[in-house]
Amino acid sequence: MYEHDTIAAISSPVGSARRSIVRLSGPDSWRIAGSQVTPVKTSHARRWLSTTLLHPPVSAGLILFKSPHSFTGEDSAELHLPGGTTLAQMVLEAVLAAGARQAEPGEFSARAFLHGKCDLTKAEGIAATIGAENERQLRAAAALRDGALHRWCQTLCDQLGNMLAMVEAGIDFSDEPDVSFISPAELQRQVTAITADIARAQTHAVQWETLDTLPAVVLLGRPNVGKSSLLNALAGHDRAIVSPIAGTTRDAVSTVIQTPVGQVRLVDAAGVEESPTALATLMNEARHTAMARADCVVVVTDGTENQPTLDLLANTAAVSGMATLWVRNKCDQPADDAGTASASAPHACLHTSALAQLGLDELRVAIGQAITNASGAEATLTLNRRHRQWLAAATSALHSAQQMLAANPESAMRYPELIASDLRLALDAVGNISGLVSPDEVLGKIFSSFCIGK
Amino acid sequence: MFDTNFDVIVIGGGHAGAEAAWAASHILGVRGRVALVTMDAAAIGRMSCNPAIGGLAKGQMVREIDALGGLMAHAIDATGIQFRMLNKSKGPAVQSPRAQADKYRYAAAVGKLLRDRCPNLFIVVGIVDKLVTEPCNQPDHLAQQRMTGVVLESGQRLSGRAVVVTTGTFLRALMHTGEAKTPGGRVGEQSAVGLSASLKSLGFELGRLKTGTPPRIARASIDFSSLETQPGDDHPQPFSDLTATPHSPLALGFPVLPQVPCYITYTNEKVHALIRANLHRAPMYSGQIQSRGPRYCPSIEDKVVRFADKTQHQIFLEPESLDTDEMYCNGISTSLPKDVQEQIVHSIAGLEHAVILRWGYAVEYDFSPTHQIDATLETRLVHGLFFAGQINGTSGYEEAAGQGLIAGINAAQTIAAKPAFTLMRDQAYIGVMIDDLVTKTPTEPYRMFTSRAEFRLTLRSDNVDQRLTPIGEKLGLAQSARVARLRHKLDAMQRVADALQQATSLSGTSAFELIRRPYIAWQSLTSTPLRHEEALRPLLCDASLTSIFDQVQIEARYQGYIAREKRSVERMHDLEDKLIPPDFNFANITELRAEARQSLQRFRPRTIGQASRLEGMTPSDITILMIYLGGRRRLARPRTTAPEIAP
Repeated sequence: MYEHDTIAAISSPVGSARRSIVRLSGPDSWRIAGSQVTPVKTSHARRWLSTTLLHPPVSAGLILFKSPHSFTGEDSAELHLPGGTTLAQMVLEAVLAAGARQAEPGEFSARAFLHGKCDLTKAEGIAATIGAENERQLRAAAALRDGALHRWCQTLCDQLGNMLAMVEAGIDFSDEPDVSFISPAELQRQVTAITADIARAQTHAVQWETLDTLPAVVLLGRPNVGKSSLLNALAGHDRAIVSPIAGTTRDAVSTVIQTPVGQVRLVDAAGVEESPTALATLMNEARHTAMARADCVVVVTDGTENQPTLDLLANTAAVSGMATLWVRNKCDQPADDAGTASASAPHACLHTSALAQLGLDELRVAIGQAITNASGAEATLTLNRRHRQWLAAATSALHSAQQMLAANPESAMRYPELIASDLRLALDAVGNISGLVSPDEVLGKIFSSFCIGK
Repeated sequence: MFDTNFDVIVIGGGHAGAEAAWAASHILGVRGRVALVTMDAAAIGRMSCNPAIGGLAKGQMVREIDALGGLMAHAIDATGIQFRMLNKSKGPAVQSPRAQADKYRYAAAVGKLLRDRCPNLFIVVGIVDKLVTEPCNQPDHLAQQRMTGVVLESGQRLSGRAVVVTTGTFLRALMHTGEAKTPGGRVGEQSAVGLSASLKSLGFELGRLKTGTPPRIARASIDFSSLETQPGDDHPQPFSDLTATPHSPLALGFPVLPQVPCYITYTNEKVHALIRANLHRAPMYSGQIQSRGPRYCPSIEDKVVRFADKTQHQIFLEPESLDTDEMYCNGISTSLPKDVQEQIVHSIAGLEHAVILRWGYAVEYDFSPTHQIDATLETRLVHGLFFAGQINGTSGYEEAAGQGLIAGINAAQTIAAKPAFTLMRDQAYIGVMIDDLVTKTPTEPYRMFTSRAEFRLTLRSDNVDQRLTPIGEKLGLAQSARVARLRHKLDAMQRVADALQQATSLSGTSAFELIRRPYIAWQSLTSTPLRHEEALRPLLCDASLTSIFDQVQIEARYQGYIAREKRSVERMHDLEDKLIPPDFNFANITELRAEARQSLQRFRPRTIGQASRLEGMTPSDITILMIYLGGRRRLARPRTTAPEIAP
């Protein structure tokens, strides 16, 4: 049997919060939290109790939650403290000294899950929030927590359950005149529709693992436009070898930079050669691979030259729907023919100078914006490996049913028990993502829709 | 202190009681004496409601009872007057046999089997008033009490260390026809009141259920000219594998009796208007009956109310006997008053001048919510006390007989000091039913459906002998003739499968692969040119192998799906193998939601598998339970305690 211990942690937004919170959960949480402040009436659960911290004597708020009406389902307490994390850290130390244990990552949500306070997808959402490293992950985690995936699965389960009920009714009540059994053509239509639904969701959904890796931004440009210098300037240290000799960067080099929306992986693709040599071919391949994984492309041109834009690559980026930023580097140096250059630029351009550290913050903001727009546009669901495996199992079962129905719908219904077997498997698979489906529910559907029984 | 000594006492001679007495008597043989206590010796095996055996999923259960060595299939094969295979146009896993019985001959056949074939069985006429128990000191049993015998209303005392209660609708039975209420479990019969009180005083919680039956009418008064006829199958199939063999106890040939048709008619708007106008006089709607009836066998007043848009409902007119004039009106079960029943019947096509021989009625009776029994059907409160049939909240002769068989087996095992016997969900429909019962309290009379069985493609009618006869043999219940037949059948199936694998089409596909295809019947192989057909040709011509070829083809076609079922069977067994100690205290697990804790405390599951199927359980509840059973010290790392939390 495990110890019913009390856990504690700081749970404030990281950064410059005006208030921070120390959370406790477990049987001793009320006592321990209460020992940190001047006495309050503990009869008032779920209410803001104004009080004063004992050390140091600053005003604080205390909220007590009675099991099971708390996030974790256990007795819990929140100490709301003014200021940032320094004070919170002190209070946490005091709380730990008073008998609480430092919570492990995700332990609050694990307890909530174990107490049945949230279903699996929501628990995953909470765990993901804790582990989130950037804005995109946080947003995906929020969607999970909010139950978007759960709701989507529920809809799928309803549809699959209804179809299964129809097929089962045709098997178990075949001598009932009142049961209008689903026609094979209709069944085929529904199976196809739901398979397409799942496929669409899988295509549009973001894979959780890709969120785990940072968003990638690829620098593209002809050799020697200063991509490497720009990368180093943004990173704040020498990551790429910089050289005036065109083509020094042979492999895609990457580094992590900071943007307003979190960290981003910046990839310096090899320069785009005009005349491909053997080495250049390899480089181009590496660049294309980098581009395929990119969330955003930054096309860098040399501000001192009046050069043609990189039409081919830029078009590729545009066609693939990738966010594209245009940067004219070396803006500290005079342009050969500035007028012509800006006239030839078909896009709004950012002007930077890696050398003089000009325009770098603007570029960070632009990159952050581009990433946010790119990931926010179409992604409705984020699926982790477990979700994808169950969806794949459902899809393969549905394909099996589809194949039978497509081969010869009328005769396929001579084996409704096989169609039912496939539908049941698909239903179980989807049901497994967030919960369980019992056979009683299927019977319930039959009884509520048909007049059955002699 | 007892007047007569027995080892096993079966209370009730219905379909559960007859099967229990038969099983206990056969297993014990000379080692024990069995008593069957009934209110009326003539009522043994009586069909209170529909005069039919089998039907979808139920037919499979009758075949399972037969394969284990039970009696029901023998009785129906000898007395059936119409045999039909249901779902004939669908796959073999969902085809089920059904038969109309001559209900008088059926009851007589059951009585004859018990009298002639069970030398150690004694039929005692009487009403059990009280169960006699003593404190149970056996360390391996949690029960506080154990059975020692029963006391009859007459004061006679019978001893018995194992008692099977199969009271059907008789426990505190109350019949309703309109405003009229009559105590009794069947028309003209009594109600068992003392036993109900005795169970309560032992600490049993009792609930109340309701069922109903339609009016019976005189055949001679029906105008058949406008009615549809529903004949039986041209080639009737018996339920028992022993029927029409020298080993059958009753049916040396088949069919034994002349075969007769059923008839179909319909209700109409006039009938529905009559019902609506008189709903206030229907006990189910006036508040006179509070208990729940079955959804799948609704009364005609229920159908009219719940499916108001329907303009007609089908009625099957089924003969109840070759010797009497009684026709059963399948489809208009009702408890409306007699004058309304009469108007309803006379408004139906063909029945304008029908003479009503018996009125429809609803009956309310006590049942024992099923958290009080184990999968062995033994009660948890009293060691040696078993419940089977409607007392467990089920409905149907077949459901009752299946439980009767298991309870009878385990009563005998108790006496013989042998291990208790259970069937799993992947072994038999009977196993599915009992598992459903011990994990969910029936809120309406429980009926079997094929869709309740997640391993439906395995639980077929054609392989019952493979699934269950070896088990029946081990128990000492399945006759040796059955075992020999099974061995012979398995040999033949192997020979046929081998020959099919050997033979190939001209393009090289094996004959086995050919008949896997959904639309190639194995019979077509006779006219297909084949290579390497030396072994196959003679087998194809052997008429005695028809059913063997059928079954090989069934298994070939289901192969992939059955493999899939096998994988989930394995997953199920993983959880079934995780035992929960019988004295485990669920109340200590404070992390469980109140609902889950209550469910666990109520049902006291014996395995994690059972726990996972309880009402009100969620996956997280099971995770917590497993943490506790695993004896883990701390719930520290979310990744190990809740492995599915990602990333």
